[in-house]
Amino acid sequence: MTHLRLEGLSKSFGSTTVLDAIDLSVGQGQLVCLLGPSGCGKTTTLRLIAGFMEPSAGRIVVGGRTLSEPGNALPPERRGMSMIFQSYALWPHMTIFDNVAYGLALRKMPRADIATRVGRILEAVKLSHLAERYPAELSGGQQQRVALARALVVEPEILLLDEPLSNLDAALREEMRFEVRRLHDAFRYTTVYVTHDQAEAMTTADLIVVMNQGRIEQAGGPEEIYARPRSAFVATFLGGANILSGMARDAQHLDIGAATLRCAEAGFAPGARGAISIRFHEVAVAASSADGALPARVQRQTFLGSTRDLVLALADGTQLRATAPPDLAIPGDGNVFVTLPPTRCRPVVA
Amino acid sequence: MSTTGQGGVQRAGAGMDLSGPVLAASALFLAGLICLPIGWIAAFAFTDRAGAPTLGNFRLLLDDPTLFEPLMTTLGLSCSVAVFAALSATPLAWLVARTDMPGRRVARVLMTASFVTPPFLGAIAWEILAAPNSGVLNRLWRDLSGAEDALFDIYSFPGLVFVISCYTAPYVFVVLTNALDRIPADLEDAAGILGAPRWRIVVGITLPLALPALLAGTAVAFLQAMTLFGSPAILAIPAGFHTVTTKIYSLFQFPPKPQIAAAAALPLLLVTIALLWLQSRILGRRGYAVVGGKGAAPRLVRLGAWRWPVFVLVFAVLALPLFLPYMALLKAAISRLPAGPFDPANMTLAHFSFVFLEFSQTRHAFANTFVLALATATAGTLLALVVAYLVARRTDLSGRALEFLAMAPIAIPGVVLGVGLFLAYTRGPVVLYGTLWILFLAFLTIELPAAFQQLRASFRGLHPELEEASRILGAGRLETLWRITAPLLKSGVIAGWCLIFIGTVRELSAAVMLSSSTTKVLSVVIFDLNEGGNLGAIAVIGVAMLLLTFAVVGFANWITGAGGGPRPQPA
Amino acid sequence: MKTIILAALAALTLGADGASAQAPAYKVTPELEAAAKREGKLVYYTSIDLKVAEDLAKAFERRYPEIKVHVERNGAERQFSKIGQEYSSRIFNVDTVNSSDAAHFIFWKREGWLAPALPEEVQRLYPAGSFDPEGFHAPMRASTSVIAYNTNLVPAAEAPRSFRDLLDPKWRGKMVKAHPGYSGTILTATYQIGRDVGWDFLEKLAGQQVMQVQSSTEPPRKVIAGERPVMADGNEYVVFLEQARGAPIAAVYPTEGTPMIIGPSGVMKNARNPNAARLFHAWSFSLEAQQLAVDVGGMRSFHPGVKEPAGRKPLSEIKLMKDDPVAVEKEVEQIKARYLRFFKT
Repeated sequence: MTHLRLEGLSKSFGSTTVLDAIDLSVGQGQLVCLLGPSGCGKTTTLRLIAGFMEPSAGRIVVGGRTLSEPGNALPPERRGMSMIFQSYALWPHMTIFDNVAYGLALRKMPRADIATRVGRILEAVKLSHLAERYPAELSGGQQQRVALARALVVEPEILLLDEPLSNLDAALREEMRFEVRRLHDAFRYTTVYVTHDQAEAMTTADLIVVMNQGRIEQAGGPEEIYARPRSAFVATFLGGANILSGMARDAQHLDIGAATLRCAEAGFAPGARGAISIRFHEVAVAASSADGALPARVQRQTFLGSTRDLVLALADGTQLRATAPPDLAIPGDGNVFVTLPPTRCRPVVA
Repeated sequence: MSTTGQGGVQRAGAGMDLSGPVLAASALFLAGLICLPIGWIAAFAFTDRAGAPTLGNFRLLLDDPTLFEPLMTTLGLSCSVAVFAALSATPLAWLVARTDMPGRRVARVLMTASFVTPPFLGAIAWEILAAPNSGVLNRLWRDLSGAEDALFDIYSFPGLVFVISCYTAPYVFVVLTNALDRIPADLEDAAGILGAPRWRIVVGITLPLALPALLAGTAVAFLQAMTLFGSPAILAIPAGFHTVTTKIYSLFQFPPKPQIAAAAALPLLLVTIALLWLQSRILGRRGYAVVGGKGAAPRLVRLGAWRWPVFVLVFAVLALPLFLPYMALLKAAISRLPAGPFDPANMTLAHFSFVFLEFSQTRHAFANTFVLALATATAGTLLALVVAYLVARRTDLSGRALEFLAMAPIAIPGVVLGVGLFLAYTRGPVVLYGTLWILFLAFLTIELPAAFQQLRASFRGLHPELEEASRILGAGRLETLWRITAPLLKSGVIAGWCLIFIGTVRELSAAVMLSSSTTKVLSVVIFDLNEGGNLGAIAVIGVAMLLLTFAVVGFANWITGAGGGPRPQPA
Repeated sequence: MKTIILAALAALTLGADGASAQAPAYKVTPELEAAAKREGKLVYYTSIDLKVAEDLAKAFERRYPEIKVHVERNGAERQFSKIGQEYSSRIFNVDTVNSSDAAHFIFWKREGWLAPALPEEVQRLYPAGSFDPEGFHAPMRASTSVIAYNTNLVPAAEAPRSFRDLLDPKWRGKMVKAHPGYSGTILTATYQIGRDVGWDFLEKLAGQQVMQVQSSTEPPRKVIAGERPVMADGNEYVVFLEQARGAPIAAVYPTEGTPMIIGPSGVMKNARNPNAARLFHAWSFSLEAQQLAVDVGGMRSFHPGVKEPAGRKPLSEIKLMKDDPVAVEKEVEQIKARYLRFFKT
C-alpha cells in the first residue's frame, strides 16, 4: 500500500532547477534510499518531504492527504515525521534524556509516560547508562544512536534520514548500517534515507532510488538495480561498470569500433547511437585467444590480493576495466584476449 | 514497541501557527521603527524652509566654512580616535588574552567597567583632572616641576581625541579579546614547529588571525567617535571648535535650521556605508572560519621576567579611563570645591543631600533611566533575536533588506535621530512626545545594531539543523526559537541584553532632544547640571549610576548563568 | 534708583504696542485658588538657576500642597527652541514660562502663544514700564552680566575695571566667557556690549584666547575653580551665591556700563492648567517669592518691598546698559553670525 507519494515534484531556486518533476511511491513500512552524487537533488527531496521547503510544482501526498503543493505546505512541525540529520543536531544544552524526551514533551504527554518511553528507547539503542550525560560527552557513534532514539521515540509517521552515517569513521559506519536496518526491522516506519554511499544503500534499503541532476534515473530493489541498471549513470554509480558506446546495427548488436558486441536482450534502436554496460568482473580475460575474444593490451595492473585490477585497451584504443582472478598469468608483452559475454552486456541509456 | 502499542503517540503542533504573523509583524515593526525617523530626516535634508525640494542645503554645507570645517574636524577626530583606540587596545587585548600576565582577569573586568562609563561623564571627570589651570594633574605638575605651562590641556583637539579614545578603546578590546580567546593553539604551534620565534608567531599568525575582529572593533570606534555628542559638547566648545554633532545641535538653537542639520548628517551616513562596505570587502576575501572552530585551547605566552613590569604598565593604562577619572569624581562628590585641596575643611556631604533629598529630578531620573534601560534591553534583545533569526535563515533579498534596516541606525548621530524621532512622533497618528515611549523607541533604534550584530554572529555559529530537528519533532518556529535557539544563543543573548542596557544608560544625544520634565533620564540630568557647573552633584549621580549599572549587569549574568550543566559550544 | 531702572526698561514699553488698552489685572481670588487646586499641577519652564527654580517650586507647593509644580529647567535658548519645537508640533506642554531672554517674549507674544495675565500686585507695586501694559509678560527677575575675578589669583588693585581693560595682553589666555548661542543672558549682554562698547571690542576680545563655555552660570564656576582667573561675562547672581558660600570671587561693574538682563514671566495661551498657571504666575511676583529669588537666587527684583542682602552693590549705584529686547529679537541672527565669525564656535 502506498504511504508516501511524490507527484511531479519540482523545486527551483530562481532559474536553477534543482528537482525536476520526480514521481515516487513508497509503501507503508518501506525503507527507501535516495542515492546519488552531491547536487543530484536527493537532499532537496528530503527537505521537501520534511516541509522545510515548499515545492515549485507537484505534490507530496502522505496517506492520501496532500502535505505540500506550491503555495500551500504544511509546516514541518505538523507532519508527524522525524528526521535524523547529518550533524545529528543534538541540542548541546540538554541531557541525552532531555534530547530524547523533547518530542514527547511537545506532545504534552504525562511525565511518567515520557520517562517510560524514553527509558525503553534508550535501552533499544543501548544508551540507558548515558541518559544524564550531555551530547558533547558522547562519542560519535553514541551521538548517532541518540539521534536515532530521539527520532524514533515519537513514533513518527515517516522517518527521514539525511546522510546519517557520513560523519562516522569507516568501521563505525559499517556497524551503524546494520543498526539502522535492525531498528527499521524492529519498528517498521516508512523511512526515506538519503545517502551518497552505495554500500549504505545496498545494506539498508528495500527500495533504492538513484538520482542524478534533479531526476530519478532508476528505482528498484538493490539486486534489481545492480543486475539491470537502466542507464550508464546508474551502472557506474552503483557498483561500477564499463560503458561502451557505439552505433546500433540492430536491436541486439552494437558497433563500438574495435568490434561489434552482441547483447542477449534487445534494447537498441537500429541506426542510432547506443551504449552497453558490463561490470568489471564480468569481463573475462585470458592469456590465449578463444572464440569471439577480442585482443587487448594491459595498460596497468594492480594486485589487490583476492583480485587483480586491470586497465585494458582494445585495438582502437577504447579503454576497459576488468577484475581478474589473482592467479591470471599475463604475458610479458601484455597482450591478452577479452571476452564480453552477451548475457552480461546490457543495453543502457548513455 | 510498535506504532499501535501504548495507544500510540499523538501528533504535535495541532494549534494555530502564529509564527508567520509574529515574524512578519516584527519585520514590519523594524521597518517602521527605522524608516519613520530616517524618512523625516531625508525629507528635511532635501527641502527648503518652505518645504520645496532643493539641494541648497548641501550646497550651503560645502560653501559655508562654519559648516564645512566641523565636517573635516569630525573626520580627523574619528580617524585619530580609531587609530589611537586600536593601537592602545591591541597590545592590551593580547596581554590579557594570550599571556600569563598577573591580574589579567581583573584587567578584563576593569576594561568592561570603562565601557560602562558614559563618555560624557568621562569627559567631565577629565575636565577636573586636566583643565589647563584648575586641573588636578596640571596643578600637581606645576607644583612638582615648577613649570608655568600646563602639562596637558584637555580643552584641545588632542584632548578630545584622548578622552573619546579612553571610552571607545574598550569596544576594540572586547571584540579583540573574544577573538584571541578562540584562536586555537595548534595554528600557532604549526608556526612554532617551522622554527618561528615567539614574536614572529604573534605578529605573523596570531594578530592576522584576529584581524577581522580588530577591524570590526576599530570600525565601531570610528563610528562612535563620529556620532558622539556629549564629549565634544563638553570639551570642543571651550577649545573653540565644533564637531558635526555639536554643530548640528547648535543648528537647532533659535532660529532652528532643521533642514541644514539633516543635510549635515548625510555625509556621516555615507562615510558609515563606505566603511561597512570596505569592512565586508576586506573580510570577505579570506577564510577566517578558524576563529570559533574546534582545536586545541589557546596556550598562554610566558612573560617571564617581564610579568610584573607589564602588569604595572597595563594598570597604568587602565588608570586613564578608570582610576583617575573615578578618583576625580569621588573627590568632587565630597568636596565643596571640586578642584580644591583635599582636606577636611573642603569636605561636605551637601552634594549627596542635594542629589538624593532636595533635587526633585533625581528620583524620577533614576527610575526613568532604569525602567527604560530594562525595557529597551528586553524588547531590543527580542527584536534583535527575531531579526537576526530572519536574516540568518533567509538568504534572499528580504533578509538583506532587514539586515540593512537593523544596521542603519549605526550611521545616524543620536542628535539627528533624536530630531527624526521628534518629527515622527510629534505629529499624527502616534503622538508620543512627552512620554517615556518616545525615549524607548529612540533607545531601541539606537541600540538595536549592537545587539543585532552580536546575535547575528551567534546565529552564524549555530547549525540550522539544531532548529530543524526541533521543528520536525513538532515545535513551531516560535517555540523552537524560544526552547532551542535562544538557550543555545544564551551567551550572545545576555551579551546583547547587557550591550543595550549599558548603551541606554549612557545615551545622551537623542535623550537630550526628546526628554521633557517628567521623562528626564540621568544622562540629561548630568548634562543639565554640567551647564550649571554643578560638578559635585554630577559626581554623585555618575558614581551611583555606574554602581547601579554594574549591579544590574552582574545580576543578569548571574541569574542566567546559574543553571546547571555544561554548555559546550554547538558543533 | 527708580529712574535708572525705568531708563533701562524703557525699551520694553516701547516694544509693546503703546496704543493698546491697559489689560485688566487679576487678583488671587478664592475661586482662582479652587480652580487651580482642581487642576492639581502645572508645568513651569524656566531658565533660572536649577536650585532657585526648585526652591520656588517647593515654596509654592508649601503654600498650595494640592498643586504640584513640574519644573523644567533649561538654558534660555534651549528652552526657546524646545517650546518652538513643541508648538510647531502642537504640543502644549508648558503652562507658564520664565526666560532670561526678554526677546523670546516679543516673539511669543507676536506668535500669539501668550495669554494676557497681569497680576494685580504687579500692576499696583511694580514700576510702570517694567511690565507689558497688555499683561503678556512681567519682569519676574532681573540680573546683570558682570566681569568677575578670582580673588586668590588676582589682587583687587590689578583687577580689570572696564571692558576695554580686558584687552590688556596680561589677560591673554586668562579669561572665560559664556556663549550667546546657548545663553539668553549672554545673547542680551553681547548685544548691549556690541552696541555700547563696540563690536570691535568683541573682535579684539576673541583674539585674547578666551575659553568658551555654554551657559552663563558656568564662567563664575570656572573662575572659582581657578581654571581662568577672570570672566568676561557671566551671571551676577552666581557670583553672589558663590560669595555667600565663601568662594574667592568678586564682581566688577565695568565703567562702560553693566549689561542688564530682565527675565520676564508669562502664561501660555494654550496652557493645559490655566488656573494653576495664573496662580503660580501671580505668586511668583509676591514679596515672598521675590525675596526668595533675591536671597536664594541672587536675583535683582522690581518689587519695592524686597530687601537687598548686605554686601551686594545696590542697582542704584551701578551704571546699567539699556535692555532692548525688541532689537535683540530683530538682530539675533546677525549677533550670532558675528559672534561665530569672531570666536569660531
